[in-house]
Amino acid sequence: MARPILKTIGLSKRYETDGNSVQALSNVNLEIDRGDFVAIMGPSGSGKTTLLTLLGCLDKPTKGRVLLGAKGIDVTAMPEGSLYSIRRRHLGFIFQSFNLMPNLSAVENIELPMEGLIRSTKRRRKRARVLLRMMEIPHREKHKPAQLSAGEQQRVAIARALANGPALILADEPTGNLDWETSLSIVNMLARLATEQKRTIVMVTHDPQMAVYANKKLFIRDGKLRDEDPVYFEALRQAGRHLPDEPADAEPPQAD
Amino acid sequence: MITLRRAFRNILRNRFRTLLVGVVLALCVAVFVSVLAGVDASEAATAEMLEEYGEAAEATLEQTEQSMTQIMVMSGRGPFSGDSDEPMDEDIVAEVSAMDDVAAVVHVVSQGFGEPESAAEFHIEGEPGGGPGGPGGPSVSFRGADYMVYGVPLDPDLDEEYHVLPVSIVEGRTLEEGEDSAVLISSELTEYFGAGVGDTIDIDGTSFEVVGVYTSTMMPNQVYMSLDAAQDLLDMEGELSSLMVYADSVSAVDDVAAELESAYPDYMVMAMADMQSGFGDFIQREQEYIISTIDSNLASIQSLGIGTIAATGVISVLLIFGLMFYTVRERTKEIGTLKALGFSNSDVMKQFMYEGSYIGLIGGAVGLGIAALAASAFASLILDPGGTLGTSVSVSITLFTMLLGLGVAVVAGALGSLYPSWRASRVSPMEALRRE
Repeated sequence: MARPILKTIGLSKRYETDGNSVQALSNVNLEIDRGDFVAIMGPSGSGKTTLLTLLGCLDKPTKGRVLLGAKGIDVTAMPEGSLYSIRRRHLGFIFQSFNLMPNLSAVENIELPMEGLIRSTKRRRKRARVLLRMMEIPHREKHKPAQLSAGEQQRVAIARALANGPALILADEPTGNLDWETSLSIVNMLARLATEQKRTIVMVTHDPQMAVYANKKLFIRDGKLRDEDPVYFEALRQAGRHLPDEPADAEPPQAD
Repeated sequence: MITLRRAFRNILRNRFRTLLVGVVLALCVAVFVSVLAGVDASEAATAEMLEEYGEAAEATLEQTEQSMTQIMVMSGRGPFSGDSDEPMDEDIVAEVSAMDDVAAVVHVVSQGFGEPESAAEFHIEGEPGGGPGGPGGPSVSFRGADYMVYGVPLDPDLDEEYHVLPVSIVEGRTLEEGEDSAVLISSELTEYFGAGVGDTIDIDGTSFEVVGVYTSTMMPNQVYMSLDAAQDLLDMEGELSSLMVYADSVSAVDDVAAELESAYPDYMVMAMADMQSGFGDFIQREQEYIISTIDSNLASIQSLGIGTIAATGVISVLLIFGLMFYTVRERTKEIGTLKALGFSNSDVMKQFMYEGSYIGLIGGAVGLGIAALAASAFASLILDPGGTLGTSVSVSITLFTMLLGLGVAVVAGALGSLYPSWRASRVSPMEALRRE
C-alpha cells in the first residue's frame, strides 16, 4: 500500500497574542493519499486556515508533526530558512484573492515560482504557456491581472500553483471571490487535476456545494478534526442553503 | 537578472511617487556634484593664486633686500619733493657713477598724472617695522595722482642686476631695449585705462602700446616706459627727475649718502635703508597674512562644501528610506505571497534593495544632467552666496566627479533601502492568506 503523500501526527497550534492565548488547532491527525481531492470545511474561526498554513509550511505547529511526500519528510523539524525550498519545489498555493503580481502579465505570473529552478528563459516561458493552455486561456498570455476576469485570474493562479509540478496543492477558499458559475468551473478544474493528473489537492472551503467535488471531506470545529459536523450542516440549512445530502442535490451541481 | 528586471518594473508601479522622490534625489545629486566640482575648482584656483603670489612676494622680498643699498636722489621736477626747482641734468649720472663705493646709477624721469595734476605727490608713509593694516608700516601712495609715468633706461644688464623694471609680469612681456612706444602697466591700471596687453593707451596725447601687465605691492600704479619716451612725453630732454644710486654694500650706504648730500645740497638724498628696516619683515608678515587669508577662505569653502555634501547624502538616504519603508508596508501581502511561492528571505531582501538602488541610479543620472547645466550656478550659490569669499569659481565637472556622484546616489539608494528590505524579508508567508 502506497504511503500517504501528507500525514499529520498530533498537530496542534496555540497562538499567544497580547497576553491572550488561543488554541487554534488540537491534536489533528490526518492522512492524505496521492490524487486525493480533500475538502476541509468548517465555520469561521474553526481552524481551517490554521491547518492549511501548517500543511503548507507557512507556519510552525506548537506540537505535532507534518510529514510530506512519499518519503515522509518531517517539515516541522526543518529550520525556517529551509522551508522556502520545500514550498517552491513541493507545494502550490491558490488563494482566495488570487494574489497575482499586479504588474506582471499572466504568463509572467505563472513563471514566478520557476525562478531559481528553471534557468532557461525559453523553457520557463514554454512551460507557462502549456499551463495557460491547460487552463483554457492561452489568449490571455500578455494580459495583466487588472485586465482579466475574476475567473481568469483564478485560473492563472492555479496555473502558477502547478508551475513546478508540486506534490501537493493547497487552496484557501479558491471560490470565495467568484460567482456561482465561475466557482463551479474552478472547482471542476481542480477535481480534474486530481483525477486526471493525480494531483493531490487540499481545499479549504466554507461552501459544502463546492466540497461535493472532493473525494474526501473533513470537518473542523474548535480546532478539532472530525468526519462529519451535523451542527454545521444544520446551521447552513437554517440559513437556506441547499446541501449535498438533500435528495435533490445528490449529484454535483452543474452550471447552466 | 529576473529579479533585476522585476525590481525595475516595480519602481514604475507608482510613477508619481517614484517621480517625486526621483526629482528630489536628482536635486540632491546635482547639488552634491556641483559643490564637489566647486570645491575642486576653488582648491585649484587657490593653489594657482598662492603660486602666483608666492612668486610675486619672493620677487618683492628680493627687491627689498637689494633696495637696502639704494639711495634716492631727488630733484624738484616730478612728484618728488626736493629743495631745488631745477631738474637734474643727465650729466649727473656720470658724476655719481664715478663716486667711491657706488655700484650703479639708475636714472629716472617720472611724473604723476591724474586730477588734479598739480596735487600729484609721491609719498612714502608710515614707520619702518610696522605691519599691514595697523599703525605704521610703510606704503607707497600718490596723493591726487591716478598713475605715475616712470621712464627708466631699458638696459637688460642693469635690469637683471637691479630690477629696474617689475619682475612679476602676469600678462604679456617686459619692455625691451629700444622700445619707445611701448609701456608696461600695473594690473590695477588695466581697469583704469580699460586696456590690456595689445591695446593702445593715450597719455597726454601720445599713444603707447601695452606690451605687458605686472603686479607689485610696492609700486601699484606705475606706467613704465623707456627713459627717452618719458623725456619726450614730459618735455624733459636731457633732464632727469631722480636717481637711484646703489652702493656697493649696505655698510657703504651712509658714506655714499653723505658724499651725495655734500655734492648736491639742493637735492634730496634719502637712503632706503633708513625707511626699510623691518620692511623685509613687513613683507614676510604681509605674505603670511595674505596666505593665511587665502587658506582661511579655502577652508571656509571646503567646510561649506563638505557640510553641503554630507547634508545631501543624508537627505538622499532618508528619502529612499521613507519611500521604501512605505512601499514595504503597502506590499506586505505581496511579499507574503512571494514567500508562500518559495522565495527566500534573501530573495525578498535583494529585490527591495535593487528597487531602492534603481531609484538612486535614476535620480543620480538625472541629477548629473542637472549639474551639467547648472553646476556653476549651484556652486556659487552655495559656496559663495554673497560673493564675500572673493573666490572666482569656474566649475567644470570631471568624469571622476560624475562617477562619484552616480556611485553615491546608488549607495544612498542601497543604504536607504537596507532596513526596509530587511523588514520585508521578515514578513511572514502567512500574510499571503490575510483577508482584506
